[in-house]
Amino acid sequence: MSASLEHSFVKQLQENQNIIHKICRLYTSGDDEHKDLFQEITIQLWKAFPKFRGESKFSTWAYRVALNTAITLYRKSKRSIATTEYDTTKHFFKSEDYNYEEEEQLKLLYKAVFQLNDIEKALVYMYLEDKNYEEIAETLGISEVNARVKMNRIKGKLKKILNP
Amino acid sequence: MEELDILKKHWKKEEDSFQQVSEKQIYKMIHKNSSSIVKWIFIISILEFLLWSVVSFCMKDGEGMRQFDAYHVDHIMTPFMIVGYVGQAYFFFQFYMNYRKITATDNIKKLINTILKTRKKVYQYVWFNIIYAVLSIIIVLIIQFNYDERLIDLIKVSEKSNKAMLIYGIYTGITILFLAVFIGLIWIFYRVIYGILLRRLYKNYEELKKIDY
Repeated sequence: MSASLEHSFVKQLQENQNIIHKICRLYTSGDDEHKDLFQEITIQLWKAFPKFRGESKFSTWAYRVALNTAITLYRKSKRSIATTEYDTTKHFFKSEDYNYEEEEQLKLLYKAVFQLNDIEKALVYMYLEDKNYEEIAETLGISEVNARVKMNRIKGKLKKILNP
Repeated sequence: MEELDILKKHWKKEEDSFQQVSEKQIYKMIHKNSSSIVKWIFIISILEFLLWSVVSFCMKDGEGMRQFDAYHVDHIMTPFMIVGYVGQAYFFFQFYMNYRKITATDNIKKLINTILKTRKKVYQYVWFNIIYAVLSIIIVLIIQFNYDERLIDLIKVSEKSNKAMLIYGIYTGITILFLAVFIGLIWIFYRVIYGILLRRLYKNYEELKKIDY
């Protein structure tokens, strides 16, 4: 593939990398695993890039490929298999706006989301990213009505995990 | 406020917390090898293909095959071998086409479905090889009963003492036992390999089917 294509890809990915970080955040539990999945997603995006025609935004295209990779193509490497627990040591706030209560609440929330299965996490991701149900349904390959139903069930499930 | 909405409020802010990857690091990443599940399936199918080719090649030069040449049964063996090679070529072509068809830009359900179809082809290939091996052994057995002088003599002698059925029985018994062990081992091998590789995919596919019943 040509150098200009490579350059264009690297530049766009660098600018949009938080999309991938966020998906890694939901699907992995430690730094090593995060880096591992980030790399696999980058490779898959690069492989698929020649087919990207610019009909949708780079960010929209990228998150779909990234989700596909996290759910379907990614195989955990040996070094990351041991860590299946959610990393509770991570801090969400910088020292200047630290809020103990909110921090604890967020930790519990992330821990609950982490207990969901791969498909449910994909729905949660798209919900957090403010995607509409038409897009959610299309990305997963299910109907819009069922996407809505499932989202409501997930909300109920999270409530149950948080208030047993 | 709903739990997820609390998370949503914070979600955007979290962008600042990720350690940013530089362009240089991305350049490095795209030149690394993927370790995706699809690649593993393709690698395994190539290994299988090589394994079966080596097995058939070794058998061709073996002592038994040379003895077979003396029976002059090429009119049976040649078409049978051609069927074998055509089958191998067909499956290899299919594996490659499936591998190329898999693209991460499909929707998730379609992607999983395509990968599972690839696996189905691999299973068909395994069955093709098992059936082919079974047929080979049956054909070899029939040829031996009809062309192997020593065996024919042995049966003639045993017919006189009414023990011909015993000879047939022993031969068939040993063959069935050998085949059962052979098929069993292959079956376990594939269950383990694909079980490990595809467990997660199956789970996710079932989940999607459940949502979209």
